[in-house]
Amino acid sequence: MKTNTLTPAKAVQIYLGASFGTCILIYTGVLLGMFVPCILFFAASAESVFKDPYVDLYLYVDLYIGLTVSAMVAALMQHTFEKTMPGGKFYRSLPEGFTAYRKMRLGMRYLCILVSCLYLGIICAANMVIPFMNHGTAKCVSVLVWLVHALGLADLIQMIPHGTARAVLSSLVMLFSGFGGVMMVYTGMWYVTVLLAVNALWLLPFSYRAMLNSYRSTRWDV
Amino acid sequence: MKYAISINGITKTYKDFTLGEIRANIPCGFSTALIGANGAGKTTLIDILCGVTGKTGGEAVYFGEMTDIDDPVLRNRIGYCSSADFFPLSWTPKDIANAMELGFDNFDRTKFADLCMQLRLGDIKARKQKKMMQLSDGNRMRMYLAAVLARDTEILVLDEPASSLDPLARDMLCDLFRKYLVERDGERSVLFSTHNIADMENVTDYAIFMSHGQIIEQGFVEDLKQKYLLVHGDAADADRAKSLMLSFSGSQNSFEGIALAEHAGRLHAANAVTEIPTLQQLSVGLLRKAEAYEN
Amino acid sequence: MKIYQNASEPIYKQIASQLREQILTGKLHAGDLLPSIRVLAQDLHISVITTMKAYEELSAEGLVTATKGKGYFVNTQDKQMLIEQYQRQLEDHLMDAVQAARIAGLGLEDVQQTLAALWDMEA
Repeated sequence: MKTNTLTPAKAVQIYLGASFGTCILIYTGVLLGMFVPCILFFAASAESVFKDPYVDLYLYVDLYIGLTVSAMVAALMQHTFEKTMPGGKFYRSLPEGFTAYRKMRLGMRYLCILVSCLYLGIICAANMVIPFMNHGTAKCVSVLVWLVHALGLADLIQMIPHGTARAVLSSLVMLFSGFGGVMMVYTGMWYVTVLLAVNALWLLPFSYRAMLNSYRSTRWDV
Repeated sequence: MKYAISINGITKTYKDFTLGEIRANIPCGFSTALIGANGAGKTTLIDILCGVTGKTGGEAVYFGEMTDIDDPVLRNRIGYCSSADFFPLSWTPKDIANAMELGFDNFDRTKFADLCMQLRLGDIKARKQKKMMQLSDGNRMRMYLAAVLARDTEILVLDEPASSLDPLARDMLCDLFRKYLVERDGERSVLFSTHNIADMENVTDYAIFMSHGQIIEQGFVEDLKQKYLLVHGDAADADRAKSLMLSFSGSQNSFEGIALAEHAGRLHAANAVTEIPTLQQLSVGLLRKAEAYEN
Repeated sequence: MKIYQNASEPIYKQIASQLREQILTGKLHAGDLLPSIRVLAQDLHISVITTMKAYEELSAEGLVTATKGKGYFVNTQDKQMLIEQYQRQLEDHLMDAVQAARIAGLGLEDVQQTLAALWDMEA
């Protein structure tokens, strides 16, 4: 009997209900949808938002970028498959068992990264056409690096047993990643972003494996 | 006798509850009921058998040849369904069909649609579809059953499928079980758990009784009905009969309970009336006896 | 086939009796294949083990034989032997009736009346 094996994309599709590509487009669309009113609001409330003196406004806009991406990432990462959660037992009964879960987490991570790239890329491109941010490209790249790095941290935080501590910490880390990415450009401390980029190279695979092992022994096999 | 599942000493230790050691053989080609009160360990055992929960010890052999529940080939042969919140609450029938098709080898969309019609869930191909959270408990359960029955499996393992169904739906469920068994005459089996066997007696061939994490009795229903008797009589004769009975329930005017059939003669001498018990009466008696022992 | 779910006689016995009658009266012929235990259970809305037990009882009496992979077939009945078997049973039961009648102080006519009434009831 032929047995279908899941790809990370398909594992995510089972859970989210729409194909991987569709999910990327939807999430990116939602983030852009949150961003556009923000821009319009600031445009309406300032004399001219496209003039240099209004650095503070730019800052708020930039922070907003970071915030929305972080919130989306945090929301995606909250999907766990407890036995008591609706859908938990269905997912656990799938043919690949824990392997399906592992592929789903990997797929979710890819989803976060791809959505962030697309979202930040669109904002970056828009900024090149109608500049509304200073150093727009630099900020977008920096936020992306901080975000990807924060994904690794988030996985490590998932291993903390205390539920509330876990939730609070992961929200803070995500929030800070958006903020921090932007601040690095303002303060000119470029090297921090570069350091994080390098650090992410080992942190991401390590945290992924550590988190899965911990999850398996404390929540899955229990 | 072929066994669909041979359970060899499975155990599971929780902080305040221990399951096991469970030793049982689920006969192939028949319908087996796992009967016990809430908290007896039925769900834990079923979840372990289907790989939804890990076990502490022991092993199970499936279809006489497979032992690794994490083998995708084995999981495709097992049709598992829990009793509540099996699918996410935001899913529509279309989401269920998509997920089942992706996750399993042998899901038939047409059969799923037909079963939904049969179970009065409406036309699932319609544009406007209801989400799981908008359905009643009973309709949700029917949806789960339609999904699992739409797969081509060799054993159905269902955790309390009848609990949220009304009597008519329970009757439909019994017919679905019989149809499932007939389709591959002798090759397919059913295992379901229940805390109330009354409506499912007519589709139960083998019964396993559980209490406090242990199996207290098991056997083919016809054999159990010959091993045990339902005893009842007047209160005046209660004392004489009581020592011969396994479970005893007395009131001002009468008493009732379960006894081993071998004591029939002495029970009649004590003016008690005996008859063949229904599975429901037997389970009340056996579970009552188990409770008394624990206390 | 008619079975009574709520009668005191176990369902498997009811099935066995009806099939036994059909076989002995020739309604079912030698070599006929009985419905599979699961198909019969489905028709009658009962459990498979019940139909299986009914068939096993008939098999033990030599009325049917189970063939692996195919099902239960009706055996060629040695009618004469079976009739003699039931005749012996009749004599035994009547002997019990005679003894009971004597103890109760009933005469031959009372016994015959009772027999006639019971015969009509069973018809």
